[in-house]
Amino acid sequence: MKTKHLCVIVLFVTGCCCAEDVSVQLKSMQAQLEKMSHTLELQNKTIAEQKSEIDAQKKDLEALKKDSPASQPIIDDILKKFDVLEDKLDDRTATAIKIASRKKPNDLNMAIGAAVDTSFGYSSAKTGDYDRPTGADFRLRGAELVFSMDVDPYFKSYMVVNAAGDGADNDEAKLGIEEAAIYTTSLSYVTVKGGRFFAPFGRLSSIHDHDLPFTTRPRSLDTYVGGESGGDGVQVQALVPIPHFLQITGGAFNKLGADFPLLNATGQHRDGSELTFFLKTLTSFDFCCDSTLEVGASAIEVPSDLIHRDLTNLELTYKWHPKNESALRQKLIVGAELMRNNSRTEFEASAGPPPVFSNDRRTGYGGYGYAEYFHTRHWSTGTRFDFFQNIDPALPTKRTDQTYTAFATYNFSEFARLRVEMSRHEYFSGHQGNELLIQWTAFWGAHVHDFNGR
Amino acid sequence: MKTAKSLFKWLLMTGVFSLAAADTHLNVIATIPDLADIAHEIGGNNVTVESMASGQEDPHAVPVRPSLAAKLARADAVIEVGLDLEHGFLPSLLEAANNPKLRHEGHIVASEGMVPKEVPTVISRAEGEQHSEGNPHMNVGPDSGKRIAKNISAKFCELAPAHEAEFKANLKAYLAKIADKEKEWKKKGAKLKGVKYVTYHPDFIYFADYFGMEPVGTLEPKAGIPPSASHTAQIIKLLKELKGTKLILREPQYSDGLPNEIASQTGAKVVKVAIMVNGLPEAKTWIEMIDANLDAILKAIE
Repeated sequence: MKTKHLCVIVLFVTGCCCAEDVSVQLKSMQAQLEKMSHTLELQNKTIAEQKSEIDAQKKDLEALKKDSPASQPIIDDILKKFDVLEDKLDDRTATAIKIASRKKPNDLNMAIGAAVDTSFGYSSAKTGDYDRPTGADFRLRGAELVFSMDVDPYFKSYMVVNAAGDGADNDEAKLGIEEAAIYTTSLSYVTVKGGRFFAPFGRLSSIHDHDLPFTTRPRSLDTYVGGESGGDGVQVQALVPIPHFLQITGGAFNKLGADFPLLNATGQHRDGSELTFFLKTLTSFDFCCDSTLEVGASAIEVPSDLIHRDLTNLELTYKWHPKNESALRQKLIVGAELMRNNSRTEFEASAGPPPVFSNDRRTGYGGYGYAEYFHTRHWSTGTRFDFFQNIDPALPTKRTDQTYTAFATYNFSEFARLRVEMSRHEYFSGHQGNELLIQWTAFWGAHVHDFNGR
Repeated sequence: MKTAKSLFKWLLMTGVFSLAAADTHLNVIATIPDLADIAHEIGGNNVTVESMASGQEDPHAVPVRPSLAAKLARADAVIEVGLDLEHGFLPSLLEAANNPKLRHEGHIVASEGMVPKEVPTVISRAEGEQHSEGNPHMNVGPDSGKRIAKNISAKFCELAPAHEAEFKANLKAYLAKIADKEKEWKKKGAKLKGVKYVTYHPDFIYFADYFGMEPVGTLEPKAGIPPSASHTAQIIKLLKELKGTKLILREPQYSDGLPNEIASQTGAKVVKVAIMVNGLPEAKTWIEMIDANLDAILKAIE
């Protein structure tokens, strides 16, 4: 018992000593830092004093030059020497600043960003018509962490971890790796990317939910693409080396669409014909100096006859960004995507298991169009029309699902946003439903505006 | 056969010459027109420079047009102010451009070596859209031109050593031009010492410090945060209490509604100023921008 007590006392004393050591070290570091900052302040003060002294001398000389024109050449010579001296002083200051602003070892830590996306929603839809829980409730739509960093001079890598509400599991936010990819940075005109990531199919499929211009992803994209256009695979993106912007992207994936399973229908890895192949071309045209039209065409193909998938997409985005007086971020964006879906298998994996394969390929068309006007830097309002034809083999006839949406967004700052969205749905079943969503989103830490989200 | 041979020779010769010319001529993209102007002064005919911004926009939010990515892809160098001024558009365009040259040797940071002002002591988003390294609107300061020109010249000499002598001569001539102008600015601007002013966004400090003007606030409560009713009331109260000349400096990209309303209640004068070249019709070059801002403010206080 005594030994135990002794041990406790020894540990306590040692702990105290260590804590004291750390505290002393911290205090010493703080003192050093203060001393350095004081030295820097003094140096800056000295430089400023020297500069003002030179200025004063120059003023005196200028005055002298007026009084005695005979000595003008000598004074000009001295003034030139002063200019040289001033330049040298400037250069030395610049060098000192460059050295002082060198990156510190901690700067090598990766950039970390986060997004929290929450909402309150009400839906009058009937269960079965709707792919999300109906009724009125609060919801954590997503909590996302993004890590990114240069790996070396040749590669950059990033990872997106997201916990998103899963309607099939009590709407609990389930953690998953949405993206984890490595891509090249040293190849001219070409980027090769590998890992798990969103392929840029169409305009909005590769954009994360919280970064969309509206609260809900258009149901046509949700259904035909299967949520975000995510998959494990490899992609090559090339900017054609001509003066005009022309980007070509091609890739092969195990699947494309967040709702599709990672393995094939038998729970095995896919063979070559079951892989998803992707191709896209994107170009843009500038009209005068304030309008841009972007036109793109994308295609997804699964060659296997059994699970054939053939999805094509035409995207158009018009942006008007006036450069007239007082037009801070006042702009108009009009976007549309039209898709043709020809599929032999079910396209929404969540409808299974087991997956239901149809005997015939069915073709359906779907898409959306929207317009959003930014009244000021902080306010925008918009409308959207969305439709898609059902090609689900489980349903006997091909019907069209339509949604009419209006939305308004208020950006408190670049990092916090409130959005209200109202939709009127007309479902396959002939039922109609209304939906109201109030979404609030916040972004923290490193915040990057990527090219896809432009 | 002879014709074919001649044609081949001609093609070969023109090809060789055009390649040689292409090697020494620099194709440069600048983020804002101020940098394009100074780069043109230094580069002369050996450099083709284009600006991403026109000068009318918010310099933090230049529209990300895909055509800019195509231009960056073929550029030998990109010039940015730095200090995160261009964080809203340049990184994404550089990524889309896939031009390895612009990641290292062809990347010119014009503000390098300058002493930044308003370096935040507390880094927090609660303080608004902060720039952790300091206020990035250096281009507005009359003393920034020299350093920008020197930084650009040094990089141009590295990128096209064949034209080093020309770049250095152009730099010398341009620095002399600025030195002459500085004398004029200091003389004219002596009247600005102690003049109190308000801006919409904190983007005028480098100009104000140079002439001894005194900032008393911004219409944005924090950088990037829209003016609130309570903050506007505070600014009105502050301006009413101030004695002497007081100005509201309005940047081109912001609406004149609120500045005019505050001016009508406080007796302050509203002056439109450029924060980039082309921000005012008479500000076609960086030197002209300083001239135009100085003249506009002097006119208002006289």
